[in-house]
Amino acid sequence: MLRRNLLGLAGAGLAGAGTATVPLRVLRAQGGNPALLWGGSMSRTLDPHTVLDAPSGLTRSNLYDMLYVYGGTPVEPRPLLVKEMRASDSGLVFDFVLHEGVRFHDGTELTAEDVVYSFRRLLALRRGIAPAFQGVLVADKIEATGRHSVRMTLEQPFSPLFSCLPLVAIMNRRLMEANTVNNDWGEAWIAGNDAGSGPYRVVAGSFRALQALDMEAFPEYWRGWPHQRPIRQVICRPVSDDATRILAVERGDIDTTTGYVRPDVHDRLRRAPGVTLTEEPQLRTFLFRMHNGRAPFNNVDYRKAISHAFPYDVFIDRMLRGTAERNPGPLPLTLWGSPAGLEGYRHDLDAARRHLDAARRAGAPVDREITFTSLVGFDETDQAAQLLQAQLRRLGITMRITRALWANAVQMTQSEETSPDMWAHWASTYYIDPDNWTGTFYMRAALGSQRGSSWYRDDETDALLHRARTTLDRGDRQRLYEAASRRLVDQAVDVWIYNSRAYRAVRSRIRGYQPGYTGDDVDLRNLWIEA
Amino acid sequence: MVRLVLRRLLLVVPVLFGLLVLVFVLTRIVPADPAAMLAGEQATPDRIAILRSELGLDQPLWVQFWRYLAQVAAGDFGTSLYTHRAVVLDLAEKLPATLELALATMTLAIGLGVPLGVIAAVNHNRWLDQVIRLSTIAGLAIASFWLAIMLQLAFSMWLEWLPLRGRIASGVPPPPITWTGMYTLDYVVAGEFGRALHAASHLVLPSVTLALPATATIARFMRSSVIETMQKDFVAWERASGYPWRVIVWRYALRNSLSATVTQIGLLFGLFLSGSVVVEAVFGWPGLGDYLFNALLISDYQPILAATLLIRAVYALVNIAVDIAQAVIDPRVAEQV
Repeated sequence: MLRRNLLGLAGAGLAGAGTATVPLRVLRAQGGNPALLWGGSMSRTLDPHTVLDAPSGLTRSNLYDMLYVYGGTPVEPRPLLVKEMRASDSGLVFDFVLHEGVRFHDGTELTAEDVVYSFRRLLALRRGIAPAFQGVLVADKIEATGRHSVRMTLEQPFSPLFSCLPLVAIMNRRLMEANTVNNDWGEAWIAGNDAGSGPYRVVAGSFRALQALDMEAFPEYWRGWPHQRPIRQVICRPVSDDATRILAVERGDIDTTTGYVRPDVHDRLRRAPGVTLTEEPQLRTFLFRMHNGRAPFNNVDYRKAISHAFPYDVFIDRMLRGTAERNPGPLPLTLWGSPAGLEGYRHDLDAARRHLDAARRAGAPVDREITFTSLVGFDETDQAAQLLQAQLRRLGITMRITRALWANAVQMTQSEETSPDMWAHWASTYYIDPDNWTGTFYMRAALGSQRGSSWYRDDETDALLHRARTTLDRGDRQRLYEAASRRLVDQAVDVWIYNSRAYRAVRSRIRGYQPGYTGDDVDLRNLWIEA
Repeated sequence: MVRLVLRRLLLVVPVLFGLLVLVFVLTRIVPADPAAMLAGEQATPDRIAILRSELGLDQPLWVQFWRYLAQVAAGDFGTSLYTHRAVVLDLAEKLPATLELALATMTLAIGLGVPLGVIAAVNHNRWLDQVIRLSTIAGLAIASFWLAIMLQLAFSMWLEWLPLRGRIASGVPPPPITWTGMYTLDYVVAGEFGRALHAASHLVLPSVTLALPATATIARFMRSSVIETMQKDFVAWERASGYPWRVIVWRYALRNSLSATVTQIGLLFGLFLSGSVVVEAVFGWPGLGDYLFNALLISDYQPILAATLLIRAVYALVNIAVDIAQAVIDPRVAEQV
């Protein structure tokens, strides 16, 4: 009786609401072709220049075009808007010739002025990928040399330049200027709108930060559509709770989860009808940062003792159920520049004791209680900390675990005094170049930023990384990064643990799914819905 | 009565000001830097310092507070650092969602809790009383996140009777005109009764999850109040005078027992306004709790301050309503003012 009543109630609701209320699974049963329901995370803003988190990749790569995009295996930057590129021998001057006939969503043509505006805006706002261009690119040295040609003159050679270009969305200058208030570079307006030329455009008024966004296909997209049944509408409705997200994808309420699916539900999802669990290689390493500027961590033997104390296999195989890969150095093993055969440190308490004794003999205060800061909301960091704590206790080292919100951790790591002895950190991909994991972490210039929170100072490493950043020859760069990586590992600067694999549950009716390169930068244009 | 209401309203002003000072200072002394969060992981100290200066965060605390006070006095609660949207607009969306859920929850909790408490009291120490007492203890003991998932599994996944999450299904347009911001009511006002039922079906699971512990609390308060009332002389007199038992219980004893429960209901309502973060997250309910939680994660000061003030203001208004209810139930309350 109760069931009948409730079904009747639901039926009445659907009848009143019209077809728009019909759940996805009902439409599917009726052979309909509904939208893609994206259940992954969403960014707080649609501004492609101010945020560089994983969720912002979805909107940046589908609402906008860039000069270059990532592609291929191994991944490399490939031209997108650029038809032709010429570089000076000095590696300082780059001339880009753009494709003609590219149209923004409002119908205006994309020209060199739009490229110049976009780079100047990025540099003026100083957020997103802008810090990578610090000291390299200045606003008045980005010029339009023709309607479809742009010249960039760098202040100094910067080899990761092309790896950074896929992160710079090209915006519609006229639209942005029309929506600029109080010299804000249109920031307030663009937070909920788009000014792009990408394959999708925002449905006006649909954006709600962290909650909702509707995108529709841009039929006049200049590169065309590869499939006859492309996805015409994308409805982003993030599900913030892990458990609900899994139920929602099983039920067909959403088509995709985030790229993080807890290991304990992998088997369940593999058995779930209509769901595919994708495994995506990533360039996102997990490491413990150590405060190299503070005793006893300023002693290399002490750091080696800590590095030998962590049970890597237990953590990866048992706690993470094998969903990550051991990564013994600063660079992801799958990335060029990582030395072949790098072994790093193994869990070996005897070796740890030997190094601890050596540190004690050198006068390091090895009996001091140390602190480890794990991150609230990231249980994995707590588990890792507890594992290390248990092993260190066997060595006679007392480690206290404190917990901090991400915002607090960011604040703490800005100063040498307030940085914790150790803390858990994921090194995410901002741009796919070894500099992302080494230069921004271990060069002196990084000190005071969150990435530089190891407080590591070493002239030789600095010189290697600086040369790698300014040398144009790829072979030379590779050798320099390999040497730098070996040196960093020899000095046990941090405890490098694993490289992630992302797992995303995708409804089987969604075809053509390919993972993104830097997070959620999935190319929706290549997807289609099975009839 | 008017004096009572005016006096309570006047008291709200210093309370809100005190809260404003407290939250302002607390957000500033917590070791989290919005400029660093905004600047990103790669930003160097000089870049963060520039951003801090642009945001006015390098000014002395009292200067920042004075500016904020002037801003609030002008009715401007600022904009979010990330969304660049006026906080007032965000709150105008979130508050009705939270109120809708809180009202549905309170309706359920009062509708079940009061009768259960009375039934338990009149059956004092009999099996029915024991069953209700045990159930209420269980209701208080069950963790809301666990109950939420169990309800989802049972009613959304297995039986498929109710929606899993959200206020309305994806793709369903919200009510054409915002009268109250509460979707169920707004659909009714717009004459879209089918969609009103659709919105109401989304309310069921989150409100049941929140209502269970609240029902238990109300039932327990009600039970002890009714037991106490039933032992008073006037009840013995009414029984001796031959009043029907039902009239004694439901008309006289109930009214005399409501005072403590009504106070408790006011407190529970305050909890639902700010404390339903977990339930809002599990059911994807875009309310104030979820909004405040997300702002706290990134130290977005303006939403934190405005949402806290709003919650406290609504809470104060609810408690004034509770005071009025107390005065209606017991006219001596109004006379004492």
